[in-house]
Amino acid sequence: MIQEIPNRIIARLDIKNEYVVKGLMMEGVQRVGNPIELAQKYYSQGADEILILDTVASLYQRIELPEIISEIVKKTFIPICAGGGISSTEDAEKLFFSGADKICLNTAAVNNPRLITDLANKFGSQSVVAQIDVKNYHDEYIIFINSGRDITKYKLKEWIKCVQDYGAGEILVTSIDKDGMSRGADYELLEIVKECCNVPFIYGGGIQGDDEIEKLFKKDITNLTLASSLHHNEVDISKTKEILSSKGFLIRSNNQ
Amino acid sequence: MKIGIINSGFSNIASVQNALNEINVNSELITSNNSSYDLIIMPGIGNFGYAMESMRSSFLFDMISNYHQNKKPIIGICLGMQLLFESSDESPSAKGFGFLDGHFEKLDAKNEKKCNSREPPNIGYNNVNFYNNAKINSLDGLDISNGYYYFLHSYALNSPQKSYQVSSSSTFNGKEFTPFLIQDNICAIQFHPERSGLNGLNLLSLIINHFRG
Amino acid sequence: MKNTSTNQVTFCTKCVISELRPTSTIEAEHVRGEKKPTTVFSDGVCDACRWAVLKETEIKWDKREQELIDLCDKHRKDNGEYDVMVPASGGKDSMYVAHILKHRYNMNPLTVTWAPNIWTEAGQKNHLNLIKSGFNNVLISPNGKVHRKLTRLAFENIGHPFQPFIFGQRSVGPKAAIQHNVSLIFYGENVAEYGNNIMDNYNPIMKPELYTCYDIDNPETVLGGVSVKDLHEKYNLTRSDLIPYRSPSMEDVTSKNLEVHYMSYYRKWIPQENYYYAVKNTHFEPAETRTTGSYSKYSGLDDKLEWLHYYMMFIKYGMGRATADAAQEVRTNKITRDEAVKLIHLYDSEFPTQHLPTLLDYMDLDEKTFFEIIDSFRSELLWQKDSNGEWSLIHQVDF
Repeated sequence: MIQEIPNRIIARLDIKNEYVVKGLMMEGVQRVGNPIELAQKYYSQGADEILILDTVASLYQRIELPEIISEIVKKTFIPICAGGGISSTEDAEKLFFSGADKICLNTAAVNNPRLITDLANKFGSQSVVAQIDVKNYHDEYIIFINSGRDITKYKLKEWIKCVQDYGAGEILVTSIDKDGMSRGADYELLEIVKECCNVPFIYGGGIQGDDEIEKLFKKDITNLTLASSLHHNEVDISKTKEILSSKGFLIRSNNQ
Repeated sequence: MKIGIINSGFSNIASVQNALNEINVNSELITSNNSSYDLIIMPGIGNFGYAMESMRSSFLFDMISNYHQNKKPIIGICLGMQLLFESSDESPSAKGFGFLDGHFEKLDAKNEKKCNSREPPNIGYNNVNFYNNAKINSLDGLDISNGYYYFLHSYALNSPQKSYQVSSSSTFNGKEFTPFLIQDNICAIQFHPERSGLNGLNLLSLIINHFRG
Repeated sequence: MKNTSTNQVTFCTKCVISELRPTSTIEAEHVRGEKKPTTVFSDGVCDACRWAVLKETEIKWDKREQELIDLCDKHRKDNGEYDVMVPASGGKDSMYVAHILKHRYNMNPLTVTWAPNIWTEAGQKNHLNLIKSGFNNVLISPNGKVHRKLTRLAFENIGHPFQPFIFGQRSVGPKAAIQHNVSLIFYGENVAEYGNNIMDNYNPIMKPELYTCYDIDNPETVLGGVSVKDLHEKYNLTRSDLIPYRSPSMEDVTSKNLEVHYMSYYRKWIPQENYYYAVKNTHFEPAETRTTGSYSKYSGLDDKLEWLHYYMMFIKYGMGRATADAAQEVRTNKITRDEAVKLIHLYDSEFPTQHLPTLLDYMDLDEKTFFEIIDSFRSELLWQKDSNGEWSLIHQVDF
């Protein structure tokens, strides 16, 4: 059967207070710019979705993104996935009401996987994304929480199976080792994810430029998040899509 | 043109309003029975059965029925589309408004043996082809609207009745379904035009202009 | 100096440290019970924060960089010989300093490492990464038995187990410089960045007193809270045992024209920016998980004993590692004060039980004695026992 749906290039914004920030290997918080401006910029470049993550929501135990999201959706007309510190259905509701189409959760899911099911039951599994931050720790891929700070006992394969069993509609995998480095994706990690993921998955971490996006697409890694490469203007989504489209990849073209 | 958006309680109204603002169209949230609108929009996410129950127990059921009786334009988006029809696999005993004949079927499950087969729900951008069967002038530009739109649903209208004035087709796991149609005063949209980038905004513009004229 | 007549503890209104924070002491005289001078506060704001503002508003960094360029021009050797000594652990700061000296200022650095007490995995990796990044390195490891004994004595007597390490680290740069015929030494930051005398930030040079004071032939010199005399007589340490801790003499320093400079004088010092620089330009790697007692992964990665050092700071002054990390990040605008407070509440008091067996073994202590020593250093002002007999901190920074 031919591929029915186009590959997706998703712009990722990590938000801290009122700034978009970017770390390296999930450490550090260099300020990159204004969330609304950047969302607008990447939307006009042709991003397929925007991923907005609040890096301090867990710490403050406060959901503060709604304000930013409701501003962003005034001028961007593509799906928004929002996350960071979601630990209850009430938290998720706030994000949906402000304009998010999907929500994602990481730390809270590890602490209580049932939450995935509760959210899927209330909002539909298609709106619940399991966010997985993973690091190669002593030659094994291990799940981390708290923005890459704390190690868990979960190995990648078992955790993917777990979140799927609990009802996540999509999985977002980010490589901690490659994060922010713009030195390439973690291909070994991707082999494992491809093998055990039944639901659609999205990969992020270290994606370097157009050539690499093409390489990933060729390997059937069809949904990608970009952060550093966008923030540092190494990738312009409109140009990238032009190139990829001309090479025959199924992609939503820029003027759509 | 006075446009009202139904706040059925489980959808993101702001998205639709934002999209309308972007194409310079004013709109209001409908908060009580009001027959003064020229066009009403029914967005929605959630469960078919619960939604109809909720409608029937509020002013909305009569209000919307009256609008249809008076042939005023109604645009239903996603769950809003489904409610305009008769029934859905999602809630077997529930009855929709029935303004148009038709039943929503659950999307086919993934076929492990076929590569590129997908597990429902239908999430993401899907290609839609439009057919201006009745050759309506005000929808002349419709064919250039062919392209990707954002879907998020588990049930679809399975009636490839190209006899609608305007119909369309998209596929899920190779099986066709009808994601968009216009018949008289009804415009039913399965996907989210407010989430489909410029394509979606252009389409909304086209529809509103069509009903305006 | 802290006014101990009241039971109040004042916290900086801009960052998160309290007025209890001690400034540096002359380690060679450091004995138990001595009253250390503390960080100066003016109108509720600590000197480190005042300096942070001056860094942004007053200091002419172009001018200071020119001074650095001139300094390098003066010391640069054109014949391929080393011309600058960089004490380096392989941490982000020393990677940064070594790298910019080599690549931006065209110097030929030799890096010298004074071994940590107990290497961490991250520390060992980064030490190798330092070499991998293109630097020559000399590693000096003091006699393990002696070092452990001194560390234990320092822990028991002055609650400062890190002191013997500091002794060695302070003088390793100048000593190695003499051996390798180099007269310029570059350390990273001046402790004035963190609250020592603010005026020190206007001087690029480390006072020779700080690295010439460890005279092991002076029986009055104190190491680990014990005089050299007693180290010989009571603890059976020989002169030879103490040689690694001996500093150069003032005569050595003047005759060889040694100059020890702080990079933080010449380049605006922002630790997180050093992290970014190190990751992008060298093979430096952050820790895999956050350090117990704090939230960060880029600082203080090398030595398992460093945790105990910070924990003793927490016991004595109510400020642990999270406070140190957060204070610095607040001053450099990486996090807000509120965020810092949250992080401190979460992590500052963390006790990493995973390192306990290693530490007990290292210092040859049993658990009971270990905790008795810790308790003996709890400040009355800061600690009280609750109804369960558990210690609780009376004064901690708040919103």
